[in-house]
Amino acid sequence: MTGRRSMFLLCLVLWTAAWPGMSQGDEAGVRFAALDIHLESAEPVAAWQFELSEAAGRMRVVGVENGDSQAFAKAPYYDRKAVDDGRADRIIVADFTLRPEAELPAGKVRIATVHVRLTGGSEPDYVLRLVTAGNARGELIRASVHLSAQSRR
Amino acid sequence: MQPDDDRTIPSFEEGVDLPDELIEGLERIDKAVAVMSPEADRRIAEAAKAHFAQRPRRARTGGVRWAMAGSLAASILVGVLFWRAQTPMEPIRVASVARVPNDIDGSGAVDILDAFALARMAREDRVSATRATTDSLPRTARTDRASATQTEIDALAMRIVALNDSSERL
Repeated sequence: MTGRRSMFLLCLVLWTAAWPGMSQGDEAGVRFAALDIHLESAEPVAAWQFELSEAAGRMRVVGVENGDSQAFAKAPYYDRKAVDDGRADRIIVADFTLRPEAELPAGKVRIATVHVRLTGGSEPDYVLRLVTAGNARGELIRASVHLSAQSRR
Repeated sequence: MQPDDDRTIPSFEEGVDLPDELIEGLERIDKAVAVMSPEADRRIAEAAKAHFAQRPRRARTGGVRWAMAGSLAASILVGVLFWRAQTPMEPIRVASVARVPNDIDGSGAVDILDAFALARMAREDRVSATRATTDSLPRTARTDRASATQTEIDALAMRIVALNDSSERL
């Protein structure tokens, strides 16, 4: 009886030890990436908004952080609840500042970093679109957004 | 006061003494007017009827038609003018653009520039209020516009970035 119980406990321990590996096998192809979003403009930028998605819907946004400019020191606006609920297969990120024009960033500046969870083995096809960008007077300005990905396992 | 019957107004037959020439002249004028006899009246009526019967009736009909067409056209014109007055056409398009909810800057689209515009307006209001207080200006000199709070600005910005399927917009 004692041997049988010992055997059962041993099996249980071995099965429990093997569980994380099995679980990892189920989650094969899952990886995380940090996407740096850069905005480029010749004119000082006071407000911006971009939208990011993945063409095949294999992306879930898990977090958004602010960029390098001191003019946009706080976390930008985004749908935090959708991110927390794991429903954000795309994200709209925006921010503005009331700082004087002399303190606004110009040229190429990282405005946000979007952390995403990816599934599938193929390379993601990100779709990044600048919705709008404005100067200190609220006027539209010519600008562009660029993305650089850093994969993390 | 004398009674009326005491007045002595002479009548023509007894008291008026006119010259004979004048009396004769008056008698010539006062001849009996020749009254038109029924026979003469009938003949004149027949002659008139015969005369007007020779005129083409089409001319009268055409006039009536023109009058009817003119009346119809005038009625339509009045109707169109009334309809145009009751139905503003151009302002609807302009108003629909201006009435996009939360389109603060009037660009026709709601984006972060609208939240930015709202924040700038609130800042200007605060500056004006501070300046008015500092300069001891009367309250009427300040703007009466209700300034947006930071909470309202944040709420607008969060609505702008909210995903469509988000059940709760922060």
